[in-house]
Formats: sequence, structure tokens, C-alpha cells
Amino acid sequence: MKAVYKVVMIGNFGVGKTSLVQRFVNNSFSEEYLSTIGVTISKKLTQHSTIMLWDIEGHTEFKPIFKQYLLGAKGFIIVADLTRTKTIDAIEKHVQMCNEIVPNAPICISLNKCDINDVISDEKIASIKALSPLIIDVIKTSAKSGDAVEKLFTSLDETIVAELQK
Amino acid sequence: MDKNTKTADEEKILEDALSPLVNRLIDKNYETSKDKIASQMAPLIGSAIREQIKSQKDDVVDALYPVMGNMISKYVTQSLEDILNKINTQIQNGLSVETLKRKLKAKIKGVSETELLLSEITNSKVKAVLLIHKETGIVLTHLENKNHTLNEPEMLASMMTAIRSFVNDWVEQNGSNQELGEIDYGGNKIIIEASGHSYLAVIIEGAAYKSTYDVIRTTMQNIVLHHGNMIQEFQGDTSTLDEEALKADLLPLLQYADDDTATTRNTQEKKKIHPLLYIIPLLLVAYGSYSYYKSYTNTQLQQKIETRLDSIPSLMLYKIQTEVDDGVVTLKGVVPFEYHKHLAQQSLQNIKDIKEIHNDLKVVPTLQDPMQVSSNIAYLLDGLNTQEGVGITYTYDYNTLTLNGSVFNPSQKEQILEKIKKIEEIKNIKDNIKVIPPKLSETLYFKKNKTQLTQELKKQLTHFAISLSHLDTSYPLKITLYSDTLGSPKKNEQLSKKRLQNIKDFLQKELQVKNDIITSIKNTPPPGIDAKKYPYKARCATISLIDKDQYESSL
Repeated sequence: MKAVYKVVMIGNFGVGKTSLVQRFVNNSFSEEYLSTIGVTISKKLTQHSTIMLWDIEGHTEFKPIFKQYLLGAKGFIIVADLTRTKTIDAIEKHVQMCNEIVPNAPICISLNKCDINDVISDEKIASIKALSPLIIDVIKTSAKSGDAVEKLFTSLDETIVAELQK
Repeated sequence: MDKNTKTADEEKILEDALSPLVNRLIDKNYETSKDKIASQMAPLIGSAIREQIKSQKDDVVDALYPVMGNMISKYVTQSLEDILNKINTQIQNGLSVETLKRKLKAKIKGVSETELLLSEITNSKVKAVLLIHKETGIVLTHLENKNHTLNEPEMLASMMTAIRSFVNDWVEQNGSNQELGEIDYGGNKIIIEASGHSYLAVIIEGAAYKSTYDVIRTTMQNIVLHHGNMIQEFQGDTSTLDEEALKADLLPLLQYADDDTATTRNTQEKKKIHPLLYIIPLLLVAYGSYSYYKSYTNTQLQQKIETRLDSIPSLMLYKIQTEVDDGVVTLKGVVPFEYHKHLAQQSLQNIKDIKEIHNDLKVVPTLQDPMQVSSNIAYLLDGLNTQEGVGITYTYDYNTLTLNGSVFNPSQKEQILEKIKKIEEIKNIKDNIKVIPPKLSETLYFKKNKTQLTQELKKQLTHFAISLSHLDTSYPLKITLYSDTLGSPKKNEQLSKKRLQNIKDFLQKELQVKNDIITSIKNTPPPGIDAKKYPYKARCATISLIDKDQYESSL
């Protein structure tokens, strides 16, 4: 079987969605911050699948996410910034949106920038995980150091491929 | 009040003092930092123009018109030139199969030929076709023209989907239910035809026509009809897709570009070959028949020429080869004299199928051998001796030719010598040829006491005069009158005189004989005639040509 599917990166602006994709696809990182406009699409070939990664414009108070971009996704990666509590609080809304647009699509949650701030209570992580049964994992990542980035994408990939094989 | 006036005065003084200084400073500043001023002014210029357009639109239009007008006209001219060049190329192709096809097509379709011509020169071509899953942007399948391979079709499909999603999301906010139809970029466009779960993105180079859209729509309909369920159930596992079947449905779309007017040059060239393939065998058959006919006519003509050359005795000795090609005759071989060369050519003159004669006969004086020379002389004399009065024999003693014999007149002799002289090998000619006029004589019989020339006598004289003229001689004639001695001698003499006069008159006046005439009247019968026994035989006149010896003795 050769799977081709779409994964959408969701999260507030500046949480590091683009950096995570860059690390995963090109194994590179840039300190420079370039806000994504619209959408950037990247392709990653894994052993069993081709993942089309939709890195969409970060959510802000004034700019809602274009829901159309989420259509047809086989999975989501919701990214939050460990240094900005507000971005962690926004996870709930993002999860709701994902469930609403694509019911049953697995979600992986990345708590990014763990190289700067690693501190988060286990209760908080548990509460995030409890937001939806579709959340398969909550992982502390660092696009800068590369910590757990591979794991983040691989666990989602494995879940989706397993789902498709059913 | 005073204070105010004072202040005003001071300001005036200050202004007068500073203004030249300030002006100078501004000028200097402008000179030294032009770039800085330009960068500071730049943002202002945009706003200024906008403001000016808002308030004084017509002024701006007038100001820009000369520049924009020229620019636009230059661009339009360039584009028109391109089109003209392409049209010229089409016209130069002239009466090609393509042209006829186009004319026919224009008639059938009911559109103008110009439109078809324009559609040809605008050169539209389908570069690639992608069937994309509507929501995920995943490529279900794609086909591309072999000359235009797509780089990363998955990326293109996802981006297209993102753009479509963005536009659709945006128009939905505006409350209208519309779809993105096509994207233009440069000379290319991407035409989008969407259905429930998938959409087609067709990348076209050049212009698209109604027929193009029709084909795209039909293809989409076929896809939905044949594979609608499969696409609907597609979850991401490409192995669930029957890609071959999808491609088979897309293929007509890609081929449409090859088949229709928007074809690639390659296929046009291929098609041009077709009529030629039919023409080549025809040409071969035509050429074969023509060659056969030509060789037949050549052989016929050659036979005619050879028969003609063989019929000429003086050419029989020499091997003259003839070549005939389409009425052009080439004569080859070796002859001893220029005379033979001309003779050969002249003998062919009145054969009507000959268009041209190339006389390549070589004149080679090969007759160095005395035996050959001798036989050649013999050959020539054999010919000449056939003339009346010519009887010439010869001896050839190594370089010296001795000619013996006689001819009737000097001109014959002259002619013979001239011909003999053409045999170059003969160094000396010893001429013993005698001119001996023939023994020409006639006897005219008169009736008793008659002096007039009867018709019979006139006829005899005429024959004599004709024979004389053939001899071409100036020797005199001798007329002798004889008597039957029956009457008185005086009367007989008178009768003879009258008869002589009548003969002379008739010869000189009627027959225009110019020769001198010697006369003699005799009161006797001709020698050996018994007048008493045969008086009618004695009453006569004889006319004869005096030969050279007689003539000389008579002088």
C-alpha cells in the first residue's frame, strides 16, 4: 500500500509550525521569523506514505483560520508555544475546530520550544490530552534542537497508515 | 502697539538678512545629498499621484498619454508583427494538404477560415492534466505531454487546491456560489473543471477555445460517470485507485491537443508525409512508363538513322556509331575527310523526329598507306565515271597521280580535279584528261522543192539544241546542205540557201544557240547516196559539232 494524505499544522501565530515542518522535511532550522502568509505546502516521503504537509497561516485574534484548508485532512498537528500560555489555552478551540471539520481525524499535539521552557505540569498535559479521544499524543518538542520532532510526525503517520489499512 | 510694530520690523530685518543664506544652504544641501532627498521624496510621490488622480484625473491622463500611448502602440505593433509573421508562414505553405484540410474544415464547421488560421497560429497545446482530490489536494492521477514534464505534480495539486480553497472560502463569504474557473500566467493558463469530489486542472499553453472547454467538460463527465464512487471512497490509499482506467479517460484530453488544430509541429510534419507515400509509387510507375516509351522511340529513331547512313555509298566504308536520346542524335566515329563528316550530317537533315544533331565525328587523315590512297582514288573515280561523257583511268605512283581519259567539256574536268585534290595524300597530279565533245550530229530531210521546216524537222533541231546545251561547249556547228541533183543546179542552190537560212534562223532565234555556225552548200548528194535511186535521201542537211582537231584545222 502506498498512502498519500494531507496533514494540516494548526496553531497560533509564532508557535513554530513552519519551523517544525522545516525540521521534519529538511532537517534544518532558522532563527529568523517569517510569518506564513496563506499556506505553504511541503511534501515528505516516509517509508509507507507521502505526507502533504499544509502549513497554514497562524491564528490570531483578528484573523480566523480559513476552514477550507482543513478539509480532507487525514490528521492534524496542533502546535502551542511553551513560553506563551495563551497559545496553550488556544489548543482547546483548535481541537474543537478539527473535530468539527474532519470528524475522526487523529490529532497530535506539540508543545514546542521546549529548549527555552521545559516547565509544564503533568496535570496540564493530562487535561490537554483529555480534550478529545482523537488526540493520540501530547509531545514536548523543539524545532531548534530537533527534540521529538521526528516522533511527533511519525506517531501521527503510523496512526493514519494503520487507519487506512483497516 | 509700539512694541508690536517694533517686533514686526525686527522680523522683517531678520528675514531679509537670513533669506539669501537659507536659500544658499538649501541649494548646497540639494547638491550634496541628492540620493537622500530622492529616498525621502519617493513615498510622497506615490501619495501625490494618487491625490492628483483623485482630484484632477483628466490632467494626469493628459500628462501620461504621450508616454502610455507610445508604449501601448509599441507593444501592440510588436504583437501584430508576431501574428503577421506566423500568418505569412502559413500562407507560404500555400497549397499544402493542411491548407485544403483547413478550408474543408471551415466549410463544415461554418466558421471563417481566418478564425481557424488564427487558432492555428496561436498554437495552443495541453501541457498536462491533473485529476485532483477536491478536499485534500492529492493527485489521483496525472498525464503530461512528453515535451512538458511536470515538476512535483503533488505540490502543484496541493497549491492549486489551497488557492481554490482560499478563493472559494472568500467568495462564500460574499454569499455567491461561484468557483474558480481558471488561472492565467504568462502565455499559459490552468483551466479548472470541478465535480463533487475531484477536479481537473488542465495546463494549457496558448489560447483556449470553446472546443477546448467542451473536451475538458466531457472528460470530467466521463470520470465522474466511470469512477465517481471510487473517487468518493478514496481515503488516501492510492492502491484503491484504478489509475490505468483514470488515465484512459484522461488521455483523449491530452490527445485532443495533438489531434486538433492546436497540434504540435511534429505531428503536422508526420501528417504531411501521408500524401507523399501515395504519390511515390505513382511517380515510379509514371517514370517507368516514360522511360520505356523513351527507349522505344529512341530505338526506332536509331534504326531509321542507321538505315539512312548505310544507304550512302561513300559512308559505307566507315563505322559511324549513332546515339539517340530523346531526339538528340550524336554521331561518333572516325572518317578521313571533312566531306564525309558533313555528308553524314546532311543525310540526316530531313528525318523529322530528330531535334538536334551533335556531330562528334572525328576527321582523321588515316590514308597514309599508298594502297589505301589508291583504293580511295579508285572509289572516287568510280563515282565520277558514272557521269555522261566521263571516262577517266588513273595510275598512282607513290605521290604522283596520273589521270588519263576524256570528258565532254572543261567544266567536268575542273570538277573532277577539284574532287581529286581533296585527297590530301596526293602530292602531285599529272593531268592528261582530254576534253572530247561527243559526236553530235543530225540529218534533216526535206521534201521536193520545199524549204520550210516542218514540225518534224523543228523537233529534230530542238533535240539537237538540248543535247548541245548539256555539253556546255563553245565549239562551232557545221551545217552542210546536199542536193538531189534532179533540177537545175541553180535552182538547187537557191533551194539549199533558203533551207540553210531557215535552219540557222530557227537555231539562233528560236532555240537561242550561241555557237558559231560554219556553213557549206554542196550541189551533190551526201557521200555514198545514189541520188537517182533515193532522191529523198539526197535532199538533206547535216548538222554536227566540230571537234577540237577539226576546229583547229578549220581555223
